[in-house]
Amino acid sequence: MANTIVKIDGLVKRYKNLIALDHLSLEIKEGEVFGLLGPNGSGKTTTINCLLSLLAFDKGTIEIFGKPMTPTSYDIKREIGIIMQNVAVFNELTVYDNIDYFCGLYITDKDKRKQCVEEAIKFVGLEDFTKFYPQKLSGGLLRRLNIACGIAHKPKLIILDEPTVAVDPQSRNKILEGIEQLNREGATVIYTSHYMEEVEQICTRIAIMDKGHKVAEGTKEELKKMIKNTETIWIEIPEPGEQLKAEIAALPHIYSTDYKDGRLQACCSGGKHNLIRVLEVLQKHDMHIGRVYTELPTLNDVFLEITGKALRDKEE
Amino acid sequence: MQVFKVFFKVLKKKYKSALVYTIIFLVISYGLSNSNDRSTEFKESRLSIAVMDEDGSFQSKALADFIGKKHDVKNIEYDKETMTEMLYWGDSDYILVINKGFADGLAQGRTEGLFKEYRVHDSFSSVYMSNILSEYVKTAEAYAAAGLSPEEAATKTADTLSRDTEVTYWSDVAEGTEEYSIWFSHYFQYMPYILISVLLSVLGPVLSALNKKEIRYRTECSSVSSRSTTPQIFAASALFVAVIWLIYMVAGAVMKGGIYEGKAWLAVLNSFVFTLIAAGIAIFVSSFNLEDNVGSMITQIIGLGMSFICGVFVPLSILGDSVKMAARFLPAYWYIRANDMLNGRETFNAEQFAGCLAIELGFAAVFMIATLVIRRSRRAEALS
Repeated sequence: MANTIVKIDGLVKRYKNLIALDHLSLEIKEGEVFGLLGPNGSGKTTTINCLLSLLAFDKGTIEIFGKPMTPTSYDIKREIGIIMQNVAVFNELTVYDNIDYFCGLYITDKDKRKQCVEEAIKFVGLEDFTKFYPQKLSGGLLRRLNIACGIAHKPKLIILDEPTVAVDPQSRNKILEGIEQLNREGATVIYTSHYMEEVEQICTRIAIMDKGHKVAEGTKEELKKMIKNTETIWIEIPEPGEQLKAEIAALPHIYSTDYKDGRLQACCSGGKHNLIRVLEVLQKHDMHIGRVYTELPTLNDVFLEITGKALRDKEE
Repeated sequence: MQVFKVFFKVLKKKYKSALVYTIIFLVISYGLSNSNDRSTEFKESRLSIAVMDEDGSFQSKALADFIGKKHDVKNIEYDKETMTEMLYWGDSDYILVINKGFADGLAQGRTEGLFKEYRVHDSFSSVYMSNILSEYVKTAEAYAAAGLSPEEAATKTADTLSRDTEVTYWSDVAEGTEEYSIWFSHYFQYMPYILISVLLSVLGPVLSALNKKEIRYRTECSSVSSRSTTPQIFAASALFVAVIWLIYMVAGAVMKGGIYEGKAWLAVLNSFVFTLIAAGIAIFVSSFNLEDNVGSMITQIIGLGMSFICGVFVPLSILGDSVKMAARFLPAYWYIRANDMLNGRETFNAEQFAGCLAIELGFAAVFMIATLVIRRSRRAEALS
């Protein structure tokens, strides 16, 4: 049984009349990549800020490495690496000096620090940019510098608060690969994002948040099992009649059907051979069949079913 | 000492504006101080007058002699081209041709047609000489009309017009302030502007960089306590401010060519107190985490605005009462009041001087306290 690294119990945070966190409880085990998934304003960053004692909270307890976390818990802070949503570097310092400075806030030994800084530079792939000033770096490289500043001291717990916001896909992949590597090297990771694909890709366990509540928690498989939908079938056909629609809806494991934009949608809940059964019915009615495909449920479907709304805004 | 070191690393990127301000200040100070002749002796200046006597009479020679007593006279031949060149090249300020028949004209009481003059249009020397000649002619004719012989009239006229006017030289340097040289009064006069400009344009941005929200958060998340970082920032700022102040003091002594003496030490003390104010303003402004260009604009507004209102650029004595009343609420006014007591524009009074310093210290304390209040309230706001 892995050790508990972070334990949040009954955390309440109010901003005047707004409840930002409502009795939030989480337990994060050693070696996990724990995802905090939720739309903007769901309380992810507030949770992180409370966790780091950057924000006072109204109720609840927070323990990290088995000890209560307070603003003066410097022994705990020494083992935490933080990568904020906004890039936190000095524009007046070079890439090397920035990493050296932030690493120096944890490691005072000069030789050890030098080694850590060089390793961090190599890890994020900024070897060719050590003498560059941040203004000269592209958005992706800047994010990598931000990450290097947060991990150079080799923390046991790394907290990343939406580190891929406004980053191009190539840099995003590089960042995600880096996080997985850090996890393989032994770090426990807390990763907040509103990009479900990222969370699905790297997180071993996920908590979905909405309006300060934890609405679901588990592995991605566990989360998907929480919902009715197990498969959605899409078939391009001409407009079906009411009788045909009723026949398909009456098939086993199909709990809803719809027809829009020239496609028949059939949502399934469990069962096997659902697609074959639907195709047989269509053939029986001599329907001309175009493209056929099925979709497995996503975390967005999980969120949609639990909260009744989409996880991401349409433009995102 | 990580924060202490990073202060100076950030400073390295910001020092250029301080360097520019300092060089300009020192060059201007040096230039102004050396060009400023405020000797207490009046000395008449002499014009270069070319005279061509076509009359050759006793009276015309007497006029030339009269002019020669107060000015440098050279006799020339009539040649229009030569005369034009003399005026053009500044060899002569004024060319006087005494016409033939000058003596007869004087005897007849004529004022027209006695001379021809060649001069630079509207120059001071030409207006001055025209007045002298007009006065000479009127006086000589008056004596001639009174029945004096031409010789007597010429002598009397020369005597009358040669009487020296008593000149009293007014100085704004009060008695007993000689040891505080004029040079230093200029040097310290502009100190508020340069201190505010340098500290606001350098210390302000450096502190803003260290106080940037994201940087502060990352530092607060680290294992270094704020009890350690705050004194490091304070120590680095104090060291920087002290070095800047020392540079100006040493530069002043070097430019003057010796160590400070007498009341100059009080000016040094006054400038030190004002340095605390300028640092206080810079720290206060940096609390608002302004963008560099906004900070630069504020530097100009505070630096220039305070300097104009408080008598840094123009003496307090020529500022209006309402301006002076408003200036009392600004620290540079009290600095200038203290400096004026040292350079003699005001009578030195130790008690009043100490009072000015005390008010300046009060301003420095106000800025420091205001900064602490703002930072604490922001911190509380961020935590809540």
